[in-house]
Amino acid sequence: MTLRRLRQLVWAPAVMMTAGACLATQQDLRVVQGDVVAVRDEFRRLQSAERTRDSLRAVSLDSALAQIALLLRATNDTVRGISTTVIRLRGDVREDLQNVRAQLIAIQELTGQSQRRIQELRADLESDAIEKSTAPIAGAPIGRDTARAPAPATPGPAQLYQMGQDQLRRGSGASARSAFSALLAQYPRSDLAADALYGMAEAFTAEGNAAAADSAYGQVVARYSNSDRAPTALYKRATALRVAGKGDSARELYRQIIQRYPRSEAAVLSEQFVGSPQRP
Amino acid sequence: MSHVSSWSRGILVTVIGMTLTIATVPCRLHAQEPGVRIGLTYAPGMQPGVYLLPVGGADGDSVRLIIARDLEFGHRLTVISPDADRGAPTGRLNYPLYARLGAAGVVQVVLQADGSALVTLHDVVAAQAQETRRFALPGPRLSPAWRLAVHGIADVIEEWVTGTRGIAATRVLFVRSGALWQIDSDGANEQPVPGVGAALGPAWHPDGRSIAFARMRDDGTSVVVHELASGEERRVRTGAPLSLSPAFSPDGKWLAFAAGESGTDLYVVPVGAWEESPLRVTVGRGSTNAQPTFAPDGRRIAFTSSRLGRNEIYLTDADGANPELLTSTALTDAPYRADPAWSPDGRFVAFSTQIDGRFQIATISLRDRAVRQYTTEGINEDPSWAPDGRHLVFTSSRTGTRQLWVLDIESGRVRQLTRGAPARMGAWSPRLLSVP
Repeated sequence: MTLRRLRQLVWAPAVMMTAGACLATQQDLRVVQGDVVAVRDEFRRLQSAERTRDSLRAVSLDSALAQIALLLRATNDTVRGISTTVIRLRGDVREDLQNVRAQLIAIQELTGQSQRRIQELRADLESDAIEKSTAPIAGAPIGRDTARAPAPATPGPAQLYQMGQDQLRRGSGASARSAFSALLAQYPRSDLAADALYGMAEAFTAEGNAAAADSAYGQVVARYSNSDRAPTALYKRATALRVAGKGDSARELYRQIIQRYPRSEAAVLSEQFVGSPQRP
Repeated sequence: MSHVSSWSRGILVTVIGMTLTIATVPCRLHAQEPGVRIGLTYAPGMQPGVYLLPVGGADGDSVRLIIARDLEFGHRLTVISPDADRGAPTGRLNYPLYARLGAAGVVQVVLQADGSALVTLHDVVAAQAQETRRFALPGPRLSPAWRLAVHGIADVIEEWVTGTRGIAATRVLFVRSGALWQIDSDGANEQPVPGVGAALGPAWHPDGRSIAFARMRDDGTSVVVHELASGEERRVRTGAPLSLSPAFSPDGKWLAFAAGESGTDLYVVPVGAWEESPLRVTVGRGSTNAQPTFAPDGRRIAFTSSRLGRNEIYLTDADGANPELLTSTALTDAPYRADPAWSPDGRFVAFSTQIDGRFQIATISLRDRAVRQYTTEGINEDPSWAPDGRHLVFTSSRTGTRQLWVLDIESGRVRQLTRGAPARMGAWSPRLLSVP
């Protein structure tokens, strides 16, 4: 068997099959061609439909995206607006708070000043009242009874407190103490009682009697713990201990001030003595 | 008619009052003898005549001129000073003659060969020498130290006559062109403080040997304590970008100052313990609290605060307790008050107050809060007390430029202290000589 012989053997069936195909009918060919065209049309139609769907979807997506973008922009604007409003509001609130704080401080200061003035006015009023009570009644017939001198009236609490303050300012501790002491004895329920006791302590301090001053400050805290004088009195006691070198005892009192009277100025001042040293 | 009679009654009352005063008030010019004394008296408001005899020697005229001027500036004595060419008297003094000239005392200064001065005060009424003392005059002649010693003589003479030491042997620190300067109380020896440079708000230590001031830095100000003799400096460590307006306590143991950033509070630190943490004195909550000045007993501090929204003067205990408003009078006006200075006698706080848009010098009584205004002309501020509690140095623009002036609060008289380039922020020293 040569190679040429082998090739002849292979080609023979192929030629036979081709000849067989040529023998298929024309009708069959047309059917196949029709099928092919139908398939192609169907394919085109499907393609076209798909394309239409895609573009519709794209339009729809674009529209949705545009809408979303619009919404986002609007939301962004709203957020920005809200943010600006919040910032402005925060600024306003902060400013208002600062104003309120400043006004509070001013009110506190003015209250202090007013209290002093009111105190002086009260003392004046009491003085006037005493003068009226001791003066003879106008228009009354001058007889043996009316000519008799009226009983001397005692000064009121405001007057006594004013006297004590004046004496303290003049540096006369003993006189100041006697005025404050009279107030405490005669008007123990007066709203000036805590101030009078504090004044006693101040007078002792002015006289150099530290032990008596400490005792009086202690009484202010014990008897009038809700008064404005209490934190200051406690602060005075703590400071006296600190100056005397009793650091631990002083720190304990400073802590008490911070715990019991956290809003007081004494508490703010006490903070520097209980924790780490504060720099300005 | 009634006017005449009341006027006559007034004169009569005055004469009787003066007679009684002369008879009852102890006389300092007389020798201290027991029993009844009759003679001239010194009382506030009176200015006894003192005859200042010519002084011999090369520097005699300078000595006499300095003493005469010091006594005049003290406002307690009337100086009767004859022409220098009369020469120094020799032999016994003619007391009746001086009495006729209106002198209650005669001051005799004799310069000694060793450079010292022998000073005698003669009592004209008693016709005898009352006081005699020798004073050393350190060389070189006419130097600042020599002049200071002569000022010391004037102060002692004033004390002999009135009982109150004079204020001539003092100096005033001030700020000129941003630098720290000093000047003698009589306006002599105007010169920069060596080694200090730029400074603000100077203050004297009570011993007169060191000063404190605020120094400008690139990032704020710091408080510096400066030894005058050695030039040694210590910066007070506050940790705050702004530290200013230092003031020493009268016992010299504490230094108060303002420190902070957006607002300032007052702090105190022990003198010498500059590394220690300062103690807080005020709770300003963001307001400005500055310009501390101690009471003479050191127990209270006056300071400026804006905690009410406008500057006012406040008082507080030195430990920070009991802060109170000192100066506010009405809520309707909106004045600005600053520069508090507590008087050495403790009775007043001097301050600057805005009146019709201009600052004026005023004092407020610590006893009854009565305010008294002393100036009206120009802008007047920065009061600082002399050690006698009677004189104030202050800045005034009354001549067109800011200069230092001295005010006598009893008589209201003023004199110009500095001249030339503008000067401000005067700080009066303590007495710089410890004459026994």
